[in-house]
Amino acid sequence: MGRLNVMKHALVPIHRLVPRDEEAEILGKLKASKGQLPKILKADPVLKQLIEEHGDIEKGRLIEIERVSMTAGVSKAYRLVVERE
Amino acid sequence: MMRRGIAKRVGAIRFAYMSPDEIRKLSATKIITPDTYDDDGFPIEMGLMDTHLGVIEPGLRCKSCGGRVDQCSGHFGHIELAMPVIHVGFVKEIKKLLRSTCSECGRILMSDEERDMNIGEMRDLEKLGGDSLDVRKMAKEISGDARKSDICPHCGAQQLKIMLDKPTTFREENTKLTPKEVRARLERIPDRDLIPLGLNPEFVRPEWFVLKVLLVPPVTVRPSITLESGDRSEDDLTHKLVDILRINHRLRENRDVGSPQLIVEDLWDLLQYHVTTYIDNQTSGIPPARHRSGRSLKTLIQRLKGKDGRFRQNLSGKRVNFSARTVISPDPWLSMNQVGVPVRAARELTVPMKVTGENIELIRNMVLRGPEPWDRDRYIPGVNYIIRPDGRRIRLTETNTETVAEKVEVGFTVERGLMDGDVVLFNRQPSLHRMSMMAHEVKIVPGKTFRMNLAVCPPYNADFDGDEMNIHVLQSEEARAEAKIMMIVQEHILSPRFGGPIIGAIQDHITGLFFLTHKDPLFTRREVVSIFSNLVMEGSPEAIEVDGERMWRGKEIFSHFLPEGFNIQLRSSICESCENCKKRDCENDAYVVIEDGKLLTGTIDERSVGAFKGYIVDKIARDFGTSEARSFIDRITTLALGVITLKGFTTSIQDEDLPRMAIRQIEDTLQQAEDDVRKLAESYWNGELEQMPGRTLQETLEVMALQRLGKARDSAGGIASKHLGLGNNAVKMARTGARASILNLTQMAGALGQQAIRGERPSRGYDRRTLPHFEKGELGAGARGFVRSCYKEGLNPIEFFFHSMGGREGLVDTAVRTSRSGYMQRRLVNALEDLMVYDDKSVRNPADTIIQFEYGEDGIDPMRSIKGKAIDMDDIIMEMNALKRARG
Repeated sequence: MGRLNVMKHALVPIHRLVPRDEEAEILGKLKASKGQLPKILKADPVLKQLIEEHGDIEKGRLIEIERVSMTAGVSKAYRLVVERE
Repeated sequence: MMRRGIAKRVGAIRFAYMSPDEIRKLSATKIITPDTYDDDGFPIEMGLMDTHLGVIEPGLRCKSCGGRVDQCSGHFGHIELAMPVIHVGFVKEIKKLLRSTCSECGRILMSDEERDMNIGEMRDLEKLGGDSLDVRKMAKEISGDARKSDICPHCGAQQLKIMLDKPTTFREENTKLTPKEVRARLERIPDRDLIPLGLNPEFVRPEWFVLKVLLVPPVTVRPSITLESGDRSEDDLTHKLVDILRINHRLRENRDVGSPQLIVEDLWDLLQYHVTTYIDNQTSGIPPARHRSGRSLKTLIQRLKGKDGRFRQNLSGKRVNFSARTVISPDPWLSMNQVGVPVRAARELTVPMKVTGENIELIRNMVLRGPEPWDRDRYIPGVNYIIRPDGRRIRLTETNTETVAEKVEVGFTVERGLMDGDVVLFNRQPSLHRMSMMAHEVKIVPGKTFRMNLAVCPPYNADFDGDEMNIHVLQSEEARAEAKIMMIVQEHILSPRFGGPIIGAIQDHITGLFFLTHKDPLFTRREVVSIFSNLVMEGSPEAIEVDGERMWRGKEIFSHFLPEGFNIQLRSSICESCENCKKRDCENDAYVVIEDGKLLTGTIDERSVGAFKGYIVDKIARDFGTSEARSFIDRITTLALGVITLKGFTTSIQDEDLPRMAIRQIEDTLQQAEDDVRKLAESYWNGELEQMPGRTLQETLEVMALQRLGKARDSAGGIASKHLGLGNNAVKMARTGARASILNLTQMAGALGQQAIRGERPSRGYDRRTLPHFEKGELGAGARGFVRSCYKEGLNPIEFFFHSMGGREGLVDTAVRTSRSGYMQRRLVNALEDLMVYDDKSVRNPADTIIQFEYGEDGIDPMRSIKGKAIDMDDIIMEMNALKRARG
């Protein structure tokens, strides 16, 4: 039995590793520095899965999360990868 | 205004524990005697009320600083404890330290390398901006690691398990550790080993957690009260300190004369008890110290903690000036933007006026008129105080008006009483949403109550059965401007809670408009004049000729108050939701069509103009602005009251009278249902009942019985309402949404129906039955709380009992719900109060970190939304069609 891919679960929103060259544009759009973003632990199950797919993701990278929203249909959020709380 | 520069800026605040030496240094005197005052009523030296600790009686001077009562804020003293005792506030910390250090050498139970690595990590955490909570969490982890080894890596001593017998006794395996031993162990811990355990040795030593010296608060903190009888009554803290001193004294004596160990230990424990309760009188595991009357003492922690504690009572919330509170009563002649303030309150509440070159003559005249001027019986605002530029206040009395008026100069401030048009805040508790506090314009009224327009009852959730409300008078020009622009009632017609109107017509307003518009009645000239008598009219509605007489159509009258170019279509509350809606041709006149400000068809009721529902109010507020909406509500409510006054309206128990035929029908229906339930119960006992998936047999029976009886009540209600037509006043109110519901009528005229306890039929009480009147195991309708009587006919004793069960449950539920939801709201508010929506629509906290990328994920302000949506497509299409029609 293969390991469960959490990202394929219906209740887990779509996570995407933001390529480095897109980061500046996104941060500019948000008018925020990386430190002001919500965080995601490197130990997060979704991140483990992403690491499996992309190779290691060092801290300081951005993750884009696309959620189904009751009010807006689809909403995008960004999180900063951190090692520990 | 005086401007002061910032002399010093607070860089950081650190809380730390006081060392015994610091306590002694801070202390103004040592306290030894448990007595407070001598026979002459003077404080005893070195007693608890020693004048070195400050003074509370006028005339005496503080021996420490020489200040009088109002000059000296008091000084601390100290008590030398005969034997050390543990500080309850630190038992957890002590336990952690004892467990993670060696009992012999006092070193932390890890190698030096490990320790230094942990120190390094902790420094990193601090550097990365970890706060004290993060440090505490990390220290807990480290101490958890240290506890794992049971042999000291430094001296090799075997570590025994240390237990805490709540609240303050430590035990090592089975031998008790005295506070003295605990202190000795804590003393042995080297400074550097403290860092990984979360203590900063520059400021704290752990042995300080075991008290040798007790700080005594100044007398100003615990003042004694002199009763009328001349007796002195001491503060709770003083009582507790007396206890401590007494035991301390006995302990010292017994120890010094070499009493048996047992006696000394008992006294030691007693001292520990008193010191513990002195700090926290609600420590679990020990009985709280009590007053002679049986009331438990309010000691240090109790002074700070909880709703009545220093923080929530005195620091987060305070009493305010320039406010008034009284009973409220309704006043339909006021606009909803106004509030009626009684003369008594208006004289007391003041607005500061700055004296300038422009208004000095006017103000001099006001001052000359004195504090309570009248123009015959007309109220004129008076002046209570004038304030000189140096801040001195002069009270204006009837006698000194002339002398004071001469003194008034530019730069003075004059406090004048309220007058018509002043802006005040009006508030009713509980203030659950922002509409609980709105700005109103003052209108001075006779009487003793605050008056308000009835349309603002829903946002305040106010009624007039004795409700009281508060008024706050704004004191600065900025505050007044802000209130007038943002807080005035008309700006709150649309609620941010659900994007609809929260202010609108209620009760009789709706009934009145129903009479005006339903089936378009005609009104004679006399009637129209009577209806309009309380309105300020601009123009008049057009009349039609009927049988040679001028008559006015109700819909035409209503249309007169609609803004020009207003279009809307909606279904009224009285709509029966037919399968094929005939819209304009509805025979119930339940389809409202308004084109270009003319009501063409339909009845105006709750769905058009009601608070919470009114679509017309909603659309006017959106498309024509809040001023137009305010004037619309003001005018149609007055109009409605004119109509209902003309028509007259009443309801009585006779409104629930049914024809004999209908009563028989209802009885048959209920009998049928009861028979069916009996059959269900029989089939249950015979095992013939078909089980529903996912339910037990018993649950199946209950569900089916509930279903059947619910249906029975509904059809009883159906029969009742079929026989009570719209000609019935009770039905009129229920159908238009003015008051009550069809269910209420059903229960009055038909049957009360099933009484439910926790959503189920009542089942407990006696062995397999609810009451001894039934057979054991009886599962029929009546035996399980079905009430077939109606309110009008009255309930039999058994039904009455079941009804009381349901009623009591409702009562308990509301009590529980309000307290629980109140606490939940408090927690939510505390968590969210400092978040803000920025102009890029992101939600951020004061640290500027993003909480939500776009407010509500869609960036829509619910107050400006249409039932939660950004735009209402149907409405836009309708408006476009109207435009097309208008252009031909």
